[in-house]
Amino acid sequence: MAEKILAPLAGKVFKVYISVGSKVEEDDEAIIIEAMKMETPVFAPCSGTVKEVKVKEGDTIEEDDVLAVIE
Amino acid sequence: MILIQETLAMFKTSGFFFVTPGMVVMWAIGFTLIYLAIAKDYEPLLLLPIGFGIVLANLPLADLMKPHEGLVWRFYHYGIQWEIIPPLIFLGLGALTDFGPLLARPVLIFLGAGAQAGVYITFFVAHAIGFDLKEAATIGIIGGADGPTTIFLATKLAPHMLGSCAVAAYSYMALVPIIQPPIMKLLTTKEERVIRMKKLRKVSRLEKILFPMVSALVIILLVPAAAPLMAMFMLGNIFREAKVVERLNHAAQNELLNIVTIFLGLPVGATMNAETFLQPKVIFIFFLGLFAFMISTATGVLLAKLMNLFSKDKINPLLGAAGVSAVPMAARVVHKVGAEADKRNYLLMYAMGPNVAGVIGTVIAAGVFLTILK
Amino acid sequence: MFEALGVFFAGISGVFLGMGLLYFSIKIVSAVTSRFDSGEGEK
Repeated sequence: MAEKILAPLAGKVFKVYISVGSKVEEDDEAIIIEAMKMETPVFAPCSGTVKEVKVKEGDTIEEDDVLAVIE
Repeated sequence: MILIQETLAMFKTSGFFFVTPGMVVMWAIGFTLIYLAIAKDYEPLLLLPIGFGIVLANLPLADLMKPHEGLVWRFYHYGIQWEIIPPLIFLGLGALTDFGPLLARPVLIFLGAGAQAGVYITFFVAHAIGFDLKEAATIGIIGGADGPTTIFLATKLAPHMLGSCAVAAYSYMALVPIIQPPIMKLLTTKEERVIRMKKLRKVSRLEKILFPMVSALVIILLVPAAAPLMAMFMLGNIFREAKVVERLNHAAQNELLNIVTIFLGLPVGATMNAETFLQPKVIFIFFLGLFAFMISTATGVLLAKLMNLFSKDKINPLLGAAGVSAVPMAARVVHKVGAEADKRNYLLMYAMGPNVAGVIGTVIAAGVFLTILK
Repeated sequence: MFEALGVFFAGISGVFLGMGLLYFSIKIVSAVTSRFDSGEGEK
């Protein structure tokens, strides 16, 4: 049932809107990534509770890095 | 009495009495560009020095652009007429450019070619309107959305239009987010815009090192006139990918690029004096420049659609607009328009492929113009 | 008029030719370099 939020592209974590334990709906903006001076939102793939948040603001990430896990 | 004589002499050497209305108009234009740069963030790195250069060139008796004597003339002569500064800008740009997204999906290189068709279409229209071949070529290359290439070509083919073409090129680059989307949406269907691209393969370090060397060979042999720009561009890229010359890489991307940018904008602006600029022809340059950007966007998108008829893994046609080599603005625009259609579609990195290919395409286009028209 | 047409066609073919050559160079380079990596692996 756990679904991972993967980074769709490489960049820097700009904003993290979710925290462990918070409830999310599918398609909520979970994390904002900054790449090429542009902010791109990453959306929650499903509804549920946030089990893990693996990144914090300022982290550099690669494509397909696991950003968070939702149950 | 000597006192009066000295005071009169001061007045005689003062420029105030020699100001013409044309000069005042040019001041207004220069200050407007500076305003746009500062208040609206329009390509400030170039438009701010250009704007100030315009003002400086229109100050009588200051003679900043007087041949052989003026300070700014020296920057212009030794930096631009001697073709040193635009290639050095390319050295810096090459060090900044990551060809990974292009190498991962080589077929995208043709989108960089397709967008250059706009350059030639504009050239044709400009000539039909009345510009001579060399002027038309310089106006056409504005559609390549590449400042240094435009300046390089103008210096060689139509120096009297250098300032106007450069201002047009940089202004429209700043306006890419406004110019491109309507055309992109006009020429694509919703189904096409939501196409997801196949995942990019990982590109090895060896490939990234070999690419600039092989391309330098291929392009310079094919179009020798493009050598100054292409050689510097690829050298910069080798600095970046080799990983063993980080001091050179860093300098090329930062100190060198920044210093040379200062000496690019100022003299270019200073070529725009009232006599050469305030002519009816110049309005056409600005219309044609806009036309060039629009047509290039269109041909890029249309070529992508054409390519989709022949390929198994569909290309999102929006990527064609990134062939207009305003890096990375056009790629950002492609991503935004794609995200409007499907918010989970992340086109940015895919769009960088055609975006950097377009830079090479514009240099080749300029090289061909030079070969035929010089 | 005809000169302009000539430049037009020369230009567009020049750009596509150049980009086409680059396309094939990229393909060849990736084929050769991957042979390198997988070749070592097979040994």
